[in-house]
Amino acid sequence: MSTGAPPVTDPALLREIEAFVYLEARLADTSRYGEWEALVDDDMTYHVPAGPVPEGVDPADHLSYINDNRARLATRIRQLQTGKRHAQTPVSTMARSLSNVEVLDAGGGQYVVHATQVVYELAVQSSARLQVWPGRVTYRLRRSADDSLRMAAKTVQLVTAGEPLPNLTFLL
Amino acid sequence: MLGGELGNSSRAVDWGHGHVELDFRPPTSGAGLVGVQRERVASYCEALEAARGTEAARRSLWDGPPHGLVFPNLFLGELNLAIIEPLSATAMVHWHTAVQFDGVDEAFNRRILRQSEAAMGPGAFIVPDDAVTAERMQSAVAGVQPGWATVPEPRGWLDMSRGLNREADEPGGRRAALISDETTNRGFWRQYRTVMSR
Repeated sequence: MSTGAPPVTDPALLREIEAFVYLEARLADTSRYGEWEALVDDDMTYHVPAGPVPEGVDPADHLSYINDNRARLATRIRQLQTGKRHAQTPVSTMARSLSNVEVLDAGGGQYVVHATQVVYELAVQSSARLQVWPGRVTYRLRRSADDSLRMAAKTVQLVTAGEPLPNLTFLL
Repeated sequence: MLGGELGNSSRAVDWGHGHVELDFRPPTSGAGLVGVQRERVASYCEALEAARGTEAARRSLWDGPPHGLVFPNLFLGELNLAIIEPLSATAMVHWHTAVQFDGVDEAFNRRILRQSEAAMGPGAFIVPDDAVTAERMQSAVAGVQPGWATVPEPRGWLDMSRGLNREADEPGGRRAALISDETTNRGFWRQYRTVMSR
């Protein structure tokens, strides 16, 4: 995520990227897995570290909560789509607030986007407790052949990473 | 259960004193300890055979995966170590980490980490389903029925009798039944009651 360049300020581009991440958030909130996956590129990585990741450290050498390559992400979505995963049956009720959207880098044909989010989740399948999931989100977006945006990477650095956590089997 | 419970020869085993195991022998997937077929981890398999002999290596690699609880709170599953930390009578933390080996190539250790992420932790494919089951059991013990339940009983209930009719004594004081039976839960809680009522 490191970039020395000032954030992109082109209003049209910012608006397009905000619309994309808000759509992504709404589909995740409503567990619309197929439509969410349509936003994903063929080599997407989905990463939720289990603690702060120091600069220069390869997450491949550490345990993460989630460290999905595209194949494993597909497995995750297929399993959720069966409707038979106890951990999401019934699916959690969610609403997330996404803010502080910044485009940090627009070089190399892709956009590095940072946002903060708070997901409110009611774990209706078990305890019916309200769980709160604050975190910093980094997206790597790029354009597909039809010029629409696709997600090549999403990393969610949870504020609570490293602490004992309840299930996070929904799309964070 | 996939294939029907009678089509599976794996067993739930109560070793006594609260130590319990899901004994996955004979392995059906062929994935064993390392979670993948031999050709993907051939160099490790060959090295283990050279070090320990073919038969011992076969048992370590393919008779399993190991999956046991050492009373009261140590869980050994595949290449993971887990401990249960009680917080109160109704809450616990399930801590885990993955085994990493000295003297193997980086790809092998990374494979174990990815395998652990698939199985263990709050975002994995296995333990979160176990966690939901445990939370539902806790609700049942508290006499609370979850809001989504459709059965008419006003209170929760918990039945751990599954397989009681087919649980068999084995040499060494073990008791065993089908892997889908509650032999392991009964074995654990019997010892828990013994210890806690001293």
